[in-house]
Amino acid sequence: MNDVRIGLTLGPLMFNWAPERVADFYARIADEAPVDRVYLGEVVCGKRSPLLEPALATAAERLERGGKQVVWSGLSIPANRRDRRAIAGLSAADEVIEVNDLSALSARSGPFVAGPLLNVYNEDAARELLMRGCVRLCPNIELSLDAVGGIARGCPELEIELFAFGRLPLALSGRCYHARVHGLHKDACQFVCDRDPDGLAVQTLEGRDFLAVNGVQTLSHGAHVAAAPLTDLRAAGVGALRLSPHSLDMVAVARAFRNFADGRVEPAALLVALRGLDPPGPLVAGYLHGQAGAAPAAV
Amino acid sequence: MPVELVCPAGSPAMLRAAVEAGADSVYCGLRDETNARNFPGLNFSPDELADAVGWARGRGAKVLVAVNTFARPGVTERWRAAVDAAADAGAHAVIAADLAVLSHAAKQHPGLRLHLSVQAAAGSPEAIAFYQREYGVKRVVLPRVLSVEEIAALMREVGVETEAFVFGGLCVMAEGRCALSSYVTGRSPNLSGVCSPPEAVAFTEEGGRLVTRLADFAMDRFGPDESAGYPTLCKGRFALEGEDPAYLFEDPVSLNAMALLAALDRAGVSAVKVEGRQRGKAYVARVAGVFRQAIDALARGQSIDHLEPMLLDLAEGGRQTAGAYRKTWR
Amino acid sequence: MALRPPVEAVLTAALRRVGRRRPDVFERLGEAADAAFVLQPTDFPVAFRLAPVAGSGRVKVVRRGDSQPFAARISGPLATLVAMFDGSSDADSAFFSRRIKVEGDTRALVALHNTLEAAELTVADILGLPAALHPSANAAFARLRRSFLPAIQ
Repeated sequence: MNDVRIGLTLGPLMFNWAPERVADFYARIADEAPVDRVYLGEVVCGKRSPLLEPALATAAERLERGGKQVVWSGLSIPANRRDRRAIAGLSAADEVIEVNDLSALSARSGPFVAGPLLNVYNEDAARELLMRGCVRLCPNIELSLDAVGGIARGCPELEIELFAFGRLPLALSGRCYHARVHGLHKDACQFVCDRDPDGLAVQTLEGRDFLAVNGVQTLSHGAHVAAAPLTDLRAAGVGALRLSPHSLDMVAVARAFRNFADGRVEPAALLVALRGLDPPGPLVAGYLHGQAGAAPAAV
Repeated sequence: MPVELVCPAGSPAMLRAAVEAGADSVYCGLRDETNARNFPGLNFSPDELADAVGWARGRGAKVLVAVNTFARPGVTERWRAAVDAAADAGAHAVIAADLAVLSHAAKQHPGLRLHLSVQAAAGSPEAIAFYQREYGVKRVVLPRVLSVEEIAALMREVGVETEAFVFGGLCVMAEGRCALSSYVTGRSPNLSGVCSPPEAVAFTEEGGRLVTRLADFAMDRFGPDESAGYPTLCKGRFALEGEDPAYLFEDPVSLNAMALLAALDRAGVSAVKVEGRQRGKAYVARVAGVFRQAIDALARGQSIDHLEPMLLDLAEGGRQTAGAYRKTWR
Repeated sequence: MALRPPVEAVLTAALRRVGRRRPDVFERLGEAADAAFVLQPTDFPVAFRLAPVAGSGRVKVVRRGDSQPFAARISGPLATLVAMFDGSSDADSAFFSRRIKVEGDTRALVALHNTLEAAELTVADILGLPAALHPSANAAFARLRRSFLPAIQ
């Protein structure tokens, strides 16, 4: 059991990067990053999708040529007919897709990955999705490793892919905070979220780093790292670690995690390596241990 | 048929106050982590629930039981037991969000009405169709991200009853899709049935100003004459790099959509809902009373303009908004 | 403060009477059952220390700003505090509008608020007076002022 290889995956890009940047990013991932699977597609704001589609289509080909599995991810908070059509289109695909809102299941019979933005908090809920075609679960970021283990034990058929690196996707809203900050209306937002490749930093009124705003999404300021001993990860049924794209060198992040997942470096060394790569915020890991998500990563 | 007025009850006393003031239905929860207002001292024991259902039925009122948190792994039987207790008490319906809870209720209590909690964040016809087809939900509590126009469009595509929040605390984020509270405190609505849990809240006087803190993160600061708010994360004052602190997500403000009652009714909404199980008897008696008057006046074709300002002092920060129901809110 | 002990005895007896008559009331306090609460009327010369509220409940009359540790302290006009106790006024509104000030353990405070909300106490209950003689909180409180104020000043 201890010999089972823990895979690495790259989660969907949550930020509004320019198409050229997206193309370059995935080209490098395809050629250099030791990841097994890459999730592509807009999950935060449906308004961004049309601009990105050609770059993502090219990226998909390139990634597959590079030996990566590509999984298309769906929107997390469909807000209008365009968003609903996008989800319906994705649901009609035969291959495995990532579902981030249950509306994708109203007309789906094929296999799917349950994304971290779904509310699957226990083994019985996981089983409800398993019965409907779910093949893999990326548990909600709030869940502790113990809770994830509870789901895995109660639903052993389901592969667990743990959110392992990046700012935590904490909240979704009907309101666009980037537009609000810039005095714009959501429907005429001028895509101002493209100015902040890792989200817009938010501090408390005492100047303490706190959150990051990304359009209708709010993320943590700290970068979460699942730096738990491999035996604990395996005991919780974790079969893959998901890395969430940010502007730092994600190839280097993936290499650091590969070293960790192969048992070549300890969790403490992983943290040291990541700190050296200029992460978007301090490394946090509270959720893993059932604590506040903002609690620092320490081993 | 006039729109149904659904009011909150955090205790049997509050339930009676709500019904006596004109609520058609009252929603409440059991005194544990199975409901989204898991505050100390609040909510019902199974015996209190059974008594309350009997009392309400005698007055033609319905009792809806919220089992609307997400079950914890390994102890999902607690949530199933809460559904069973609601069914045993003769509740009119159970309000649930977790697939595990919905599945148990649908299988074990096919005669019990199921309402989909706002915590399920089902805001599209497709999501609603999924819950209707798979679990037979009869009513969906609409997420507070939709405008009245969008609700009207939605109602043309779905075949279920809907319930819309019209008064009380305003979630700025989509309910059931927000972990801000646990990021700071370790507890959240989905995980533990509380947002900004009281054990993490502190009020301190600093330099003549009231500072509200959540787990030592400063949420807001009020001068002596400024109206205060709860230290919930989405209504705190925050700063962007190099700028003065401001209400980034939302001001300390409460929802009051009384002016939109007629529009919601025309859109086809079956019921309107008041938030605030944690608020108490005085609150629910006043809100239920004024909304009862408003619904009855609208049914008679009378104006309700004079009623809208009557609840202002109950609002957080002393201010109210129609929230996402008006598209400009976004 | 020569007559302070009798005042404390009357209030303590009343608190224990509520606990005996409605044991369910204080169950809602949960972990806060042993906590010390201080009620500090801003228009009153003294404060009331309830420690503990439940079980062997005890009320002490203390100086304003008394230095003994407390779980939570609520300060505000006497009438507002009383109206919050009997549930006739909304505590959150009083907080939003800054009519009351709260300090200490917010969890204990929330537990106390929810317990009192559920209890349906009247001021007469709290003071152990026959309810029929005191149909309103204000009337009961007027009596409290008349009887006790001279005694504790």
